[in-house]
Amino acid sequence: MRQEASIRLSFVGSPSVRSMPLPDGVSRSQMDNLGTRLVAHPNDISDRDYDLLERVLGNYQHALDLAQVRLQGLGIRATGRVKSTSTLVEKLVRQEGMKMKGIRDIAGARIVVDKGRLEQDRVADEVVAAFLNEPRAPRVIDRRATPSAGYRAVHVVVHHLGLPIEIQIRTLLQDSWAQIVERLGDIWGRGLRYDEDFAGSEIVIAGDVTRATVMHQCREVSEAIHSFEAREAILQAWANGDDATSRSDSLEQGPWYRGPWDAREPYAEFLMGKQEAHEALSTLRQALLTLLDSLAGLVDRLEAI
Amino acid sequence: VHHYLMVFERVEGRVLQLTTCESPALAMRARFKAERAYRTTKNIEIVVLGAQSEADLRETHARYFENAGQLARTGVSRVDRVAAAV
Repeated sequence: MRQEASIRLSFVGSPSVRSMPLPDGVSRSQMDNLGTRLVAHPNDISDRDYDLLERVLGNYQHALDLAQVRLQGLGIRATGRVKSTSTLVEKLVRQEGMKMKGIRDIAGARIVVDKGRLEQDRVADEVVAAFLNEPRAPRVIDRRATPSAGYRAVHVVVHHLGLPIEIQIRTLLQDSWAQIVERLGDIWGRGLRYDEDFAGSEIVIAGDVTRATVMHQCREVSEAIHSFEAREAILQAWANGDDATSRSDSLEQGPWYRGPWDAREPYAEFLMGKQEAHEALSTLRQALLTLLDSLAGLVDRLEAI
Repeated sequence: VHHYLMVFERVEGRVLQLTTCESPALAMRARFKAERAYRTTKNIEIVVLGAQSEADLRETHARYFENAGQLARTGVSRVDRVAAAV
């Protein structure tokens, strides 16, 4: 069976582009050496390194601003941010040996689409098209059927002024899930976003509920969102008069292949009548609501502590 | 694109500062000034966010403004918003 997976759209970029200095003249080796010093002394950053970091990140901010303006011209509303110093250092520490210039999400933007996966696909296509003429082509990372610790979204890494910008495209429900987990990460440490056995996972928050219990519930909600959205997309395609069967075939010939909506039960709906498919969606909706309500109850107990 | 300096206390979930900056360069300058001021304080996130409006910012980065329970309930309302569209 075909799997959704990260897709490398095109070439990765020539070494000359990768080694070019930043637009304001800071060299890539200066940047990498700065990264090494930040990792060595994360709590004692010198004024000189703060100044250099401000210069380095100013380049990313400029590239990000221009990218956002380009998206805005297409009617796409994105919120951008350049990574905070603490998350930048955390990433360099977590991914040992990684060079600062190799981090693709120093500049990032987030788009939350108003609906579900069809809209997410459409916006991802527009983002890819908007940056196809850059020296380095966009790269699409589809984390829907193959999530990262429960996190689902489509990311498009585009380049502008020779710098990478990671654009997160989330559906409404993927975004809600991510916001909840990010908020828990604020309180319990960001490690929970990367590891099921995160530090402190055994800590009891109330009664017999541990932090791990809450994260397990989050994973269940993520699965339920995935199942719900996969079926919602198929029904939406029908409602749009789109033959979803032929659409999924034609997608393989598009600029980036995204695979079937649900790798586990890809075409169950096609064997059903529409009424039956709507009923199946309704059942999934109810299951998702029950899980979300339960999660809300759990985290309410946390907030009450 | 408007630029906002956000200073956020992660554990308590409190926005300590949300300021609109007049330019990206001034925003970056304000960020690093804040980083130096908070360099010995734990659990502080300092970031510049660029958005078309503060309303957009509150939508895409809701975790700065809502607790986990509120975020989960927003998720509940979004399920029906998506389901209603089919």
